Amino acid sequence: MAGNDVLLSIKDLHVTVEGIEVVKGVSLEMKKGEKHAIMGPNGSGKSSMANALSGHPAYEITSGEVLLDGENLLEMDASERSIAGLFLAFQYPLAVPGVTVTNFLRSAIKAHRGDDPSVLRSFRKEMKEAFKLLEMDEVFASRYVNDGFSGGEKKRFEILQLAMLQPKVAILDETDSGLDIDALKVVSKGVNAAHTDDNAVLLVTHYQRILNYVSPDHVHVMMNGNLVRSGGPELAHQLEEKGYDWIKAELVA
Amino acid sequence: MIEQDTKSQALEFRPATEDEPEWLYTLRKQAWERYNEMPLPDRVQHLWKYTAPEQFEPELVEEVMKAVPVRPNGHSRTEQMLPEGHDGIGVETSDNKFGIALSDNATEKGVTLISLAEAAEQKPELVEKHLGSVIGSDYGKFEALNLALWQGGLLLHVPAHTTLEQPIHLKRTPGSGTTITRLLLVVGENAEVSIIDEYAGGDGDGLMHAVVEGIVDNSARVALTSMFNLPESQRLNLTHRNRIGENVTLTSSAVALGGSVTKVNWSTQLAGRGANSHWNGLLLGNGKQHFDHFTGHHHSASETYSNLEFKVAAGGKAVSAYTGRINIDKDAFFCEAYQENRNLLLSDKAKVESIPELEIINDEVKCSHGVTVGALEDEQIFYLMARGITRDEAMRIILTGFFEKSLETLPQVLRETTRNQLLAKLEV
Repeated sequence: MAGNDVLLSIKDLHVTVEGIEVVKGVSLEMKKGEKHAIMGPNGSGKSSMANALSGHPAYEITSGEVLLDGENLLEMDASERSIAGLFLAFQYPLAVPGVTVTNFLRSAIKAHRGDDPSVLRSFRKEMKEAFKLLEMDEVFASRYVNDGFSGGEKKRFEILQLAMLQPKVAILDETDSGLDIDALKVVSKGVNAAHTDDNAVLLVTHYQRILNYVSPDHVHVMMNGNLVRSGGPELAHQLEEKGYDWIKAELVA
Repeated sequence: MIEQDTKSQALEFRPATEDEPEWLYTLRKQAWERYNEMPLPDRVQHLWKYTAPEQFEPELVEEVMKAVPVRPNGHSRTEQMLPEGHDGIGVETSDNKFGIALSDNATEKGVTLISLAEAAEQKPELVEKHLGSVIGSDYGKFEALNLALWQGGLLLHVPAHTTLEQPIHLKRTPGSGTTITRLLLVVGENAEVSIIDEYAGGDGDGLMHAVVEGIVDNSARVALTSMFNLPESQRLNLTHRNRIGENVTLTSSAVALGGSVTKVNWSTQLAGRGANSHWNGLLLGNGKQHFDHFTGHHHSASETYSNLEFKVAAGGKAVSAYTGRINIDKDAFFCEAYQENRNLLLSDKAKVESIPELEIINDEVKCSHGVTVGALEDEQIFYLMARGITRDEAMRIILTGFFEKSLETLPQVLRETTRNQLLAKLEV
């Protein structure tokens, strides 16, 4: 494939949090239309990597290079990364009391597309469609962001934002965790609807379960701050059967 | 200070006019004597621990006395348009000009809104009975000063069984010297009214002493919104106390945005069985603003309920000191009292203090209080930034959210303007 098909290029990424190195030289390339999954046990550094890529202030990128559609991501703050086309679905979405879902989404859309009247006119319609896609009741529009939402509702709202913001690269940080099977199906439907030939999705997950619904082209295994194995979808099934110990054992040997 | 006290004592306290009623002259003269007798408030006492009382001493008491107290023939009325959506407006400026307008509806229902000086002549039965009855000359030095030397001031009387659907807006504007003003608020049985009590405008580095006395009779429903919008060169010392009767519902809101030094002492006595008082305040300080709020809910009757929520955000080098007191008397049974104060520090140099004071001499109560102090959460800011919103905008959105619940308690006519004022102040 041509070089300009590469949407996300990560080279030798190192990340520290509170002085401890948690990502130790990850390299990864994602092309348009691809879906990748990063799997790994707890503490392997996969969520740290997702947060660092999105510009979380607690995660310091000490070295490496990250290009988003050719642009140097590391020179941008979190909001600029979002405008550039990066999206993070949070593992633990935060409540913003007193701020309605509608106002929150409108602010995000305005930040991305400006406040031209035509943008604001189509906003309501798009929001309505997104609610339908995520099977969320429209009363959520006037509720405060994530305030009193159940775990499943929070995750749906993350994917709703993904669907509305249409990023080039979406990183889903354990979006599947804590979801019952019905919610998982709805969330997966949202992810699949948002995925096109022109964007890319990076699923960060502990379990193989969500991969039954959002099938990745590439699966990577992350351990101790590094990608230790990459393969196709079959790698996820092997992990499901044998667990992570199998790879650990191989690495030692 | 001693020198000044001697000087003011030497001033002869004369009737304001030849025909000042005897009862009023006596009341004021006694207050004047109390003012001179009393020392400045003790700073060890909680009420003045965080704010120096010296800065509220009028610089030239002679000047104040000359201007005060103005009788009806000494002040003028200016044309006043009644704004849309209001049943009344009363604007008072430091040069003793009053602009007062009531809706036809309010006038027909017998509502009175006149200057306190006029009221002493025209409604002596009301004024003699109530003036100084809730905040008398023994309340404190500055309260005695106020009772002795009020210049302007208003009486608002809402007769029994009267319902006003739209608010009455009262606005006091200080000048560059000392302004002493007073509101006497008398709400009759089963009446319903919404009052906006605003301190705003004016130029120069003036000092305003204000007193609000509220007497609310049984089963009345009163919404009382205090707006502190003075320019950042003005000092305000307000003592506001309500006495509410049986089954009264008092819903108070306070919006503190302006002023250089704002000292507010707000309290309500729940004096009748089944009385309810809700207080919801918001404060946004920046620059070198200094705010000192005291709130008191005094439950002296059984089965009374109070609830208080105060949201404070301080940026720049602003200071907010808050003391929240709950008193429940020995023979006030089955009361409920709740109090919550949340503080956000928007800069390293801003300071907040929060002191809950509970004095409960009855076992049959439900009572709780809570205080939080913290900065804006980085995680929360990051969440908004990760959606493309800039850091500054994210902080503004989170802060307006912080205040949203308080904004919702405001009368409809104030909500949008107050939200915009908040946003404008957050831009700074």
